[in-house]
Amino acid sequence: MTLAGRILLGLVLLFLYAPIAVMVLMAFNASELYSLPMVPTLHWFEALAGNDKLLAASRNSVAIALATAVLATTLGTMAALALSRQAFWGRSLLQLLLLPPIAIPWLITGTAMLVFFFWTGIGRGLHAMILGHVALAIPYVVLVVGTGLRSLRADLEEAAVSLGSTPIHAFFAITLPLLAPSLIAAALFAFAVSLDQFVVSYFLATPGMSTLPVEIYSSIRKGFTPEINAISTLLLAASVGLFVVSAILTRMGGEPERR
Amino acid sequence: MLDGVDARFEAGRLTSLLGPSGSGKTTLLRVIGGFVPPDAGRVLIGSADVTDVALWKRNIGMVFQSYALFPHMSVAQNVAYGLRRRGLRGAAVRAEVARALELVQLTGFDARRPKQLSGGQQQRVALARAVVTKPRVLLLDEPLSALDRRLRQEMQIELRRIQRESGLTTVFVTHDQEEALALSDRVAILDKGRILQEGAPADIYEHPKTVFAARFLGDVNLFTGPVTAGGVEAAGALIRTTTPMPPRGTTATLAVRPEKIDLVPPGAPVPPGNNIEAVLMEVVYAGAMSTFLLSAPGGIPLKVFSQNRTATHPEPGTRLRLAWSPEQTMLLEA
Amino acid sequence: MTAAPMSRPDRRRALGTAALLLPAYGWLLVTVFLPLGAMVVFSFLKTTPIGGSKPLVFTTHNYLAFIERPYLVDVAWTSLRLGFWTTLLCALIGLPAALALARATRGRFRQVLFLLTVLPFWTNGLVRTFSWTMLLREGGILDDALHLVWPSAGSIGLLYTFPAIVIGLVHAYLPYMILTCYLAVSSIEDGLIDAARSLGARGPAVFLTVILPLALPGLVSGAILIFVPVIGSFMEPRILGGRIGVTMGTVIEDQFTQAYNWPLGAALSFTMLGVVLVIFALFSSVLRGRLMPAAA
Repeated sequence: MTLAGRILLGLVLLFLYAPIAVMVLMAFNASELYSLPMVPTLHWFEALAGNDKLLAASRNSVAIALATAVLATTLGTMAALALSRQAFWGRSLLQLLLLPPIAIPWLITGTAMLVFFFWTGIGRGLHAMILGHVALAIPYVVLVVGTGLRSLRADLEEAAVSLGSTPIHAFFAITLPLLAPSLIAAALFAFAVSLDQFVVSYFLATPGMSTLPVEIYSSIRKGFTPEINAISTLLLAASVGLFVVSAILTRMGGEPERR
Repeated sequence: MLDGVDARFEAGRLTSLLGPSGSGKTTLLRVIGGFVPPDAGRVLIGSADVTDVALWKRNIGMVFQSYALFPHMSVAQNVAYGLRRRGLRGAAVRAEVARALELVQLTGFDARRPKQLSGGQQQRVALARAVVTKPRVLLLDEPLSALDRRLRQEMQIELRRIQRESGLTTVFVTHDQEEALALSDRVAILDKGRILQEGAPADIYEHPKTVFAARFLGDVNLFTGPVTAGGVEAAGALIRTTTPMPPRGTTATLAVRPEKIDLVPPGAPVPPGNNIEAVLMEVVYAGAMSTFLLSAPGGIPLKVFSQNRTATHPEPGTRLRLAWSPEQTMLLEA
Repeated sequence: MTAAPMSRPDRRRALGTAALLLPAYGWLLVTVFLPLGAMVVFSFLKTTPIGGSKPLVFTTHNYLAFIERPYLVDVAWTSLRLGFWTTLLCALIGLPAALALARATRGRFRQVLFLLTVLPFWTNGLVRTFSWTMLLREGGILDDALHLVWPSAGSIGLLYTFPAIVIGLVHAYLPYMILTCYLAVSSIEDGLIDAARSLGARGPAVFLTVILPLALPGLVSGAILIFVPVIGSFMEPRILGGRIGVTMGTVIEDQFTQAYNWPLGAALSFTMLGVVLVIFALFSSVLRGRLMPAAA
């Protein structure tokens, strides 16, 4: 049972990672047609440096992701504080309202934004993509920060107040420092959600103002070039780096070790 | 949660609020501390009305059930927190912190983090943090409930010493009657948001007013029956007490604690005072003493504690004579 | 808690709560809820209100698209088949993998494996889909690998076929199923299985009577998490299916980006959402009625 289980897990991981590994390898392969044997080269990464369109899209992606991380973390943390601290009428409804941005297919959310932003004159472009990305990231932030808040005992703030802190001072002196890992993890999560977001960006981008995934998609549809592999490899590396940092911060590595 | 509570806590004394869970004892503590505003009534500390004084200006010390130590601060920083909030800085803070840590016997633990301490040590830090500001009232919310039995007994003695040395007016919430009796100058028994009885530990143990109070403070044998001349008829005997009795013909409940009852050896002269005959059902042996479970006429269950001076016990099924003095017999309200 | 009139601190606290909630929910209102509402309105419009100030004409016409355009029925059938096969394969691989993770690994090793299975969540789906094109196309890496072992073999050439889309979608959504099943299965204690064994259950019986019922919530939530987005997927079918990859997702996308028939796109979106909801309503009542008679 144990051996069979491990073999199965190995096969599943092979299935999950083989294509990604192939793509990363091909980014370093000289052949434009992805033919073997491999001839290592950094040519495609160098070519990237001259591709203004991809570079501009990358800059947009990072800018939008930064804005999303800051805005979604701020708004989501405020909401998480209100939702997890006290019971009030309508709280479960508000918590339920966090589901649609996650659960409704992005195709529908994205096209709905397109329609509504067009109708109201908000239009498309950088600001529209930030509006959309923040909306998609807020539920995740509320989830991550809410979990962090729940692990914080409410009596810590009470203890601080009984010792002479005003409630506001207690929040900044006690709660915020203890919440910092959750906040950073939430911000990284929001950053990653935005950086990898394709569907919503696809509908809200304009020809002059697009993001990296949108550019990758149109390149793929035009035809394959190993440059896409190179930029995708960089994007993967960024995502994986963010994941590792936030996994360490939230210790989301499965259940805690048994004692 | 609370229903017309009128309580007075003597300055410099340790008063326990004792009650089952849901009795309102923690709520009362939180009202005194200012964590929850009372719907009606006033809270006075000394002669000052603090009902509308914000919690952070009330100058109270609180030890929480979970200790609520700040995990991101060292022991010294935890203890210094309240001093700093009162504007103290530098050497003054260090001196006070050192004195408080000495009081709880944790000198040298300044730089540790709460996580690196045992439960008992965390408890002491929480106590040091609460007393270092010389609060007008020290509030303790079941502070020993998270400790194991042996450590809890040690900490009871420690707590008593620290309270005496600091001379702080202390209110202690607990659901453990032994702890309340061992620690307190005064004990208040709460049930359903009311204070049932209040007094010195020995006083309320020996003279509980109600069946609830008698039972909550320890084991008790109850005899309910009609009042006749000089006593209550129950368990096939007339049970007497030195307390004035209600009028004849009414029903009354008399009670006696299990440790007050003597087992009369067969053939020995029957002593004066109350005595009844009962059948031994079971003996629960516990080393230093044994618990005898008996059945008196009328099916009344009885419990007797007996020191194990000899190693022999009567067999279950034996008829035994039980005797105790009318002075030890308590008259209870239902 | 009694319904007493609010005291002053209570009212201040309520105001504080509202002030904390307003920014986030205001944002969601403008970017998600109002747009979805606008979509509902749009789905009843006769024409896309772009340019000009033509009066808005309302119609239910767009919801009759499936009757008037029979090819849409085929498209919907393709989407449902994609959803079915993807969900089924994810369940068939995901549940055993979750069981293996929970029961065949320990401690630090398990943590690392767990992180490795959820890590693909964080990588760009587009990039992962694209990587399959290199493996699956004629003369691609899979062909090369095959020819290394068996030089005279033909080409696999799966790219631009239905199985290629399913493979890409399974790759994209398998981690969801492993995660939800793992969360359900990891709470099963060894003692429970020992108890079943001690009562006379053999391997398959243990699986059917103990493990499967306890893993069912994980399977169901995994299925929902996979089926819904697969039905609405358009990027994977386009990249891996090429010309045969015509699904509800791609048709809806076309209405917004090519045909500019927004009302029809909106109506198709809601029809799709409705169909998915109906399927799940049926599915969950069947589950509740047949498989979990005791569980309330």
